[in-house]
Amino acid sequence: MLELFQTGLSSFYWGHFVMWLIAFGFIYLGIVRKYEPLLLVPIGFGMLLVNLPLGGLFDYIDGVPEGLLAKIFTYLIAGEIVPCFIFLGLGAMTDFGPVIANPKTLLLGAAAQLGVYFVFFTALLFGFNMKEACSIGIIGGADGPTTIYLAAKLAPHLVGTLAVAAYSYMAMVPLIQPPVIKALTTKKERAIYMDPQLREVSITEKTLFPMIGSIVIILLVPKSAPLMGMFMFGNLLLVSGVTDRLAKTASESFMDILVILLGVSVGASMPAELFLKPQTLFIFFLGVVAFSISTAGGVLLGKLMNALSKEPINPMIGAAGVSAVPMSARVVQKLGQEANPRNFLLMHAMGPNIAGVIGTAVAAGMFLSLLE
Amino acid sequence: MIDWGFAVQVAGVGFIAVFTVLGILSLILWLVSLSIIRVGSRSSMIKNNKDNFILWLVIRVGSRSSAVKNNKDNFER
Repeated sequence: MLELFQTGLSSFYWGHFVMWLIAFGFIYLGIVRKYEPLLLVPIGFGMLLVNLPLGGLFDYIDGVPEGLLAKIFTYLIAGEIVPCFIFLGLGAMTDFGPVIANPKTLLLGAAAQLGVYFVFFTALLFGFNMKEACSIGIIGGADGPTTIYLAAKLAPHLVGTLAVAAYSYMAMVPLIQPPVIKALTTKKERAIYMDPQLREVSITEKTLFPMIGSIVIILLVPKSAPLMGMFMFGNLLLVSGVTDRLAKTASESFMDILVILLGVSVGASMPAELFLKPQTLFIFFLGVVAFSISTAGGVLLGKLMNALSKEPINPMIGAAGVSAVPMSARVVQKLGQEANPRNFLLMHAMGPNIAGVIGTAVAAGMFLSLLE
Repeated sequence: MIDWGFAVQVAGVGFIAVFTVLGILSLILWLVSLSIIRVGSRSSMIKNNKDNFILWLVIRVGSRSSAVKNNKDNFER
């Protein structure tokens, strides 16, 4: 007969139960509410698995990973391999056409990094050290792989918390962004009509972009090379027209494998003993602040550009400057249609959205240049 | 103890760098696109002119040869 001390029940405490509820919450949001199911379901299940006592999936012995998910997390996630290869897949999925057709939208992606720096200072004020503050601030960019990449380098002990925070907020873009956008814009501004037809971008321009982009960005911020290099390489595979098989693999099956490894191991990095601490909850709070301020930064620059530009610019497209692709662009499209049913802002919002990915990687690269 | 001077430097330099990098990229993209569009329209103009020239040549040569043929017929007559 199985003795009680051999079962997980002997090590069970209330914290595990709370984590089960959180895990069920993630899985519920993914399956029932369809909020980023590809991320929330693996994260939620990883969280559930690691909070089943004595399972040993996330065990370390003398700092060496022993459990299955601990090995995946240590070598592939914190070891920077998965975040960078996710950028390869993202590049192979991304159409840079909207950015090339309207390059000034790149500036909106820069303005939407405001939350990163705001929360950097806030975290410092609340006692985090400089490297931790940078890692927390980068959540404001709403870019999961970049957050993990930076945290693994500057604050490895926070990788799990920050990864869960970043991915949770990316999934909750439709809940977080609309109130901020509505608070900063009038209905008249939200209804501003933009011609849905962007300039047609030639294949030559699309092929040149990853090369020009790599040269400019990596020359100026060399520490962004692992992320930007992979991003641009993935995009070159997509647009070159001769590597369709590689682009398809990078953006589909390879990306799916990476998301499985990332999701389940990031979820598993949240055992109750680590997660249910005031510091973790405070980091989650700072994440929402960072994300909201970044949204505000993009919207405010959008308003300024609208005031200065001859052609009308709907300031809401600035909110898509956070790099949650394509969720935030979809939010802008939805709000735009609510305000003016003639509006199709999706393609206009994709420009700042893609710029946000580049902006966050550059911000992370700058933190690494200054602090590593 | 936090070195606030350094913190301001990290945030300030970082934020300015993000704007600078994306600003430069935006400018270069705009210039490259502009030049590609210009070169594209110039080459299509040249192609149109070349096509027009060939058409003109065909018409001229055609009318000249028909004139020669008419003259020859008249002479023989």
